[in-house]
Amino acid sequence: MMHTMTKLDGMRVAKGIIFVFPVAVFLSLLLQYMAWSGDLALEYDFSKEPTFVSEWYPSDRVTDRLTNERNHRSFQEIHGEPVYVDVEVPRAFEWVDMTVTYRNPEHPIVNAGIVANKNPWTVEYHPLQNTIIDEALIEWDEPVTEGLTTLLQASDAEQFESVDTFLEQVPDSATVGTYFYNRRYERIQSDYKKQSGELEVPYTLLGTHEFATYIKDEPLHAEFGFVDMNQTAGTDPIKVEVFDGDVLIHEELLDDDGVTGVGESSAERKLLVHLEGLPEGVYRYNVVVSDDIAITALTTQQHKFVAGGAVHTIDSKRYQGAVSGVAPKATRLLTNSPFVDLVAPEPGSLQTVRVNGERVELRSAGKRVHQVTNTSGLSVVRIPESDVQVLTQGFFAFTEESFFDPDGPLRPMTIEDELADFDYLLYHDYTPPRADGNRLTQTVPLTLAGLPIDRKNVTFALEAPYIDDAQHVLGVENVLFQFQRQQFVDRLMQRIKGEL
Amino acid sequence: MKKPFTIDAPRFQELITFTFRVLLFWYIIAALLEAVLPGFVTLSIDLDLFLWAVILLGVLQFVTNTYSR
Repeated sequence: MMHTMTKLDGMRVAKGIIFVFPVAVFLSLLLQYMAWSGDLALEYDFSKEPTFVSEWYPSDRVTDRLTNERNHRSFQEIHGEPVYVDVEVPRAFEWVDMTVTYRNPEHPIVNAGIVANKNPWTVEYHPLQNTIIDEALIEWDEPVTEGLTTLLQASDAEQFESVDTFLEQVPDSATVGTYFYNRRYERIQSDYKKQSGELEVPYTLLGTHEFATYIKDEPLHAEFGFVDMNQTAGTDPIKVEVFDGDVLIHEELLDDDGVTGVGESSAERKLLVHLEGLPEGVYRYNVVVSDDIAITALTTQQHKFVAGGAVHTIDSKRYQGAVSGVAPKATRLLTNSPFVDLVAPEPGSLQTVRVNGERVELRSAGKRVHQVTNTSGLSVVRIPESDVQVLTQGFFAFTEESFFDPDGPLRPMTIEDELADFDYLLYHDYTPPRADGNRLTQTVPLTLAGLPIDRKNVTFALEAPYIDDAQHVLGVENVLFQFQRQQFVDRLMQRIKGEL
Repeated sequence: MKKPFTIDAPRFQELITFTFRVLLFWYIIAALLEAVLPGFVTLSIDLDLFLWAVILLGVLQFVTNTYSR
């Protein structure tokens, strides 16, 4: 009897375990899916077919998955940029730490980020690696840090005790390399004198543009003219923001004019910015519009006026019918940038551009052509038929007299730079990657909350500027995404408190 | 003295059958859940391996049943 009971109990226990185990697994999966603890980690090491984390794409910028014969590690090699990876998660999370393990034998600047908006396509990049800073951290004196901003000073340069003191007294002759330093440098132009009269931008511009100007004892004044070309469906609101340094001080909005039929161009609408009593200094206009909007007129009372980042003039045959008053003419721009990037957006805009008289052939639509300017003064970019997007890391003027450099000695580091080119380095929120032999690991914290995207299907990006031109490669061996949100209990408590 | 739990052929067969049925039930649940909530199961468990485990148990159960007749 005892023997039978033992057997029976043993069998019951075994069956009980077999029955309970899947239930426990199910409960654990349920808690994970609900992100009960607030955390979810997804990792991809490129050894198997991708599931929740995709491979890097597009395929013309990366290789297929490869395996290192020596250490049997799988990886994808990146030879173009930017490249993207999609990650699917079951819940919407608020933050994510993106950890990339990679080999980078020689490319100086690599950034990683998140696609913060898919229409228009906007990527928010963060530092991943900057070898110029990594070298300076070894060779130069101790860094000076203020919050997340760090200043590195060459041993033979004048030394400053704080970042603020440095920014107040940047030596005019110094060269300051910046990396993710977005706070604008407020350079007082001691020789500036206001002038009467108006300055008119002689070209029609397409889409979002940024301008900078300088005022002293005068009102900040600019009048814009906009035409909605309605080449694509949908509304096209217009926003002009005015910044003093990195502080937004004024905003003007124009809603869509209501004409939304495709191909039906609207009449020109004016927008005036007039601000009095502002202190001396640099002010920036950010014109935030879609590529359906043409800036047909821009008149300012300031005589120092430049465009920053990118300029796209459209006084071309392609836009002749779309915007009234547009007639084909050549564009002449002046820039202080050490290089220009030229992009012909359509086959019809392919042409030969001249940079300081040197011919630059644009042979392929949409392809960025990089041209080093190699001049200490202003470079002249001449686009015979317009409709070419010109990008720089400096500023453009439309006439010699209107040029000024709002950033002074500060300029973003480029892949052509070496540490010896700089007296100071100024950067934000960067620490060098951890090294394990040739493998580097860097974690980039990113915020998802508030982004206008599907937070269950997130796209991450990696850029290594001009990696294709430099013929460098990055081997990515592992990506780890650690998603975080508030713990379920905390969310529940917050909701209950909110209800009460 | 309490005798240790021992397992004979019929009990082994019963245990295999029971395990097979439990796993088959949970595989169906898992596949349905995965169809409705993608990632619910496959975030942690490889469904293909799960299916192979069920098939192997099914075969084992079939073999032990046939052998015992």
